[in-house]
Amino acid sequence: MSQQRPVNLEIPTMRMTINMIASILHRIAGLGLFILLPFMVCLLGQSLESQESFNAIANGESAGVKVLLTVFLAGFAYHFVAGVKHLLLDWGVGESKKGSQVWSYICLFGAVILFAVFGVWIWV
Amino acid sequence: MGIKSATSLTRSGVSDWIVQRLSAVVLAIYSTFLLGYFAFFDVDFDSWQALMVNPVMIASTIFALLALAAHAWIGLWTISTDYFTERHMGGTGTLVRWLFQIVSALVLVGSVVWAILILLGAA
Repeated sequence: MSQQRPVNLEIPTMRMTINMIASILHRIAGLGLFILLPFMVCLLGQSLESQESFNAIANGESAGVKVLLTVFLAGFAYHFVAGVKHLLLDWGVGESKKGSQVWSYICLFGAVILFAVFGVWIWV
Repeated sequence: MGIKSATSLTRSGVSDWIVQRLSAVVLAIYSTFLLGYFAFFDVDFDSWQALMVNPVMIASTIFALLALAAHAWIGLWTISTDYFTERHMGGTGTLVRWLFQIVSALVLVGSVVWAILILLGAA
């Protein structure tokens, strides 16, 4: 294979498309989930430590915990939906120019819906 | 001059691709189970603790944590080698990438170990 391959990585010169947004959101969500991982592990510890610390979480006593869960589940919602899309795409489902556009819309709307379900669960 | 990756999870891009997919399936199953549990059962401290210290659940959670470490590492390696490069950042690109990877590895390993200690401590 030739070692001199043309490179075009000047992203600012490229027209922004729905596919690009859907794609980069998957990476951003993944990075966000990683950054929040230590906090979620801490939350796990709190939930198992005692009846009181469990109640503090389950009763929504801390706004900070609710915000943490909201942000985490937002990232999870998108990363999960887009992840399933990637797996199905690997199997060839929707592997066309039109198909990838449809996938991008499914990811965005699907994640919003899933996030809305999580949001209601946390805040209502 | 080819570039050999020294910090990818496996030595082969195809292997990493497979591990990323397999770990994704493991994580999808585990998280769907956990979210379903919260959705369909009234969870209180006793039932939550009983679930998490159940030996099958402890094994499943540790399995999921290991899958998470592999999955997250591959993702972090991918974005660090895509964006933190000398091509994008000039001379400091390699140093930034190394620091990012080192910190990421510590956070990942630390989180997994901490979570396992929490589970074993609750048991």
